[in-house]
Amino acid sequence: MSGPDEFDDFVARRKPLFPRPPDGLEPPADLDRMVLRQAREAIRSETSEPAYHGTRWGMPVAIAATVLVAATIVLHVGMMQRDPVPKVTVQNITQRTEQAPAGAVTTAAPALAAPETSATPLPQTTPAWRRDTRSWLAQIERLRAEGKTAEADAEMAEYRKANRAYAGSPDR
Amino acid sequence: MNHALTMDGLTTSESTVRFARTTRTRRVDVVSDDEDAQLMLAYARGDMRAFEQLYARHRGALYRYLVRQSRDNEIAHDLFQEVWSRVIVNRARYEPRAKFRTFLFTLAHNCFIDHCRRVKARPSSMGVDDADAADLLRTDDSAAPDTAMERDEASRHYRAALATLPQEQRDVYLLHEESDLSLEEIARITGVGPETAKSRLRYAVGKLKAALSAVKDLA
Repeated sequence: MSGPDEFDDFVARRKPLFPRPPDGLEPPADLDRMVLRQAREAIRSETSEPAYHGTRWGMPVAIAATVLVAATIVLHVGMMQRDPVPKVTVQNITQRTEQAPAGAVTTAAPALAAPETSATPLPQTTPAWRRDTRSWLAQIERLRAEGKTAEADAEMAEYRKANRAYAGSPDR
Repeated sequence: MNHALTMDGLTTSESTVRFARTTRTRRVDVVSDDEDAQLMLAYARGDMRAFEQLYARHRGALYRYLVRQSRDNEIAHDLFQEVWSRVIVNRARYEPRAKFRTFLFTLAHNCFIDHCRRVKARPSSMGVDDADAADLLRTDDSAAPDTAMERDEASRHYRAALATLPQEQRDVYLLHEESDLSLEEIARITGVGPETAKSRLRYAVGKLKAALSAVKDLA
């Protein structure tokens, strides 16, 4: 075995302990090509990643947009349905037609075009606020606000009688 | 033997990349470790040229290490590819805290150990290769005074002597010879203390020297 100094020189790469013959070992060209191809493809796949990222976050955004649009439509339709639409029946139309020559308060427009108009013909002595549902209901509210509960209830009963279509409505 | 690696087929009009033979000039190693790290970082940013330079610098040493360790060209080729594959895959996570060579040879060492485990090899008994050992004892009676032939003979004896070493000793010796790393770094790679690494290297060198001088005496 070599001496300690000799070995230390060898470890420090100052002096070889024995001549090492050149072996000429080199990786074959095919191997080089495979490694380099892999390295190149790794970079290529990385550079094409942004497009992939785009689709990755694009999908949730598309879903969110769809949900938003759908919710908006549902809300809009729901609010439209809340507005009372008078029930159009053959009886109502017949009554209206009969009342019209007698100078009824109803407008000349067809019933469908004036949903706010009362479906039942009213006598000539009818107070002004009873001529359309909005002012009638406003009058009822006013009476309630003034503490005239009995009068308000009576008006409401009249209102319901006149507007049978709404009598059974759950939100009235 | 120099060979040219044409990049045709891999890229459209890439120029030819030539890998000059990595001559054994490690004692005058001009490759800067810092430069290696910069090349690796450049490759991580997508610079293929940087990888080509890095590869050209280390391919020979890594290949020799793996061929000498495995003593089987096919296995060495697989391991060589696996090591570089790990370098490529881990490029984004690479941090230049240690030398690139340490990183590379740590991967190589681990790949070889994994391979040994996979094939249920017994690393400690892998030192003796029958063919190489037979080569070691054989002498060429018709030794012509031809320089190339003498060199081939010397190379054959060297490989045979290397094959007689226990795997741990051969590992430390090859890392010392091929990776150009310090004993402390070799110890870290092999997972032993610096004194153990030094001891293994001392034994390996002693055995190699004895085997080669015995052959010389026989001749």
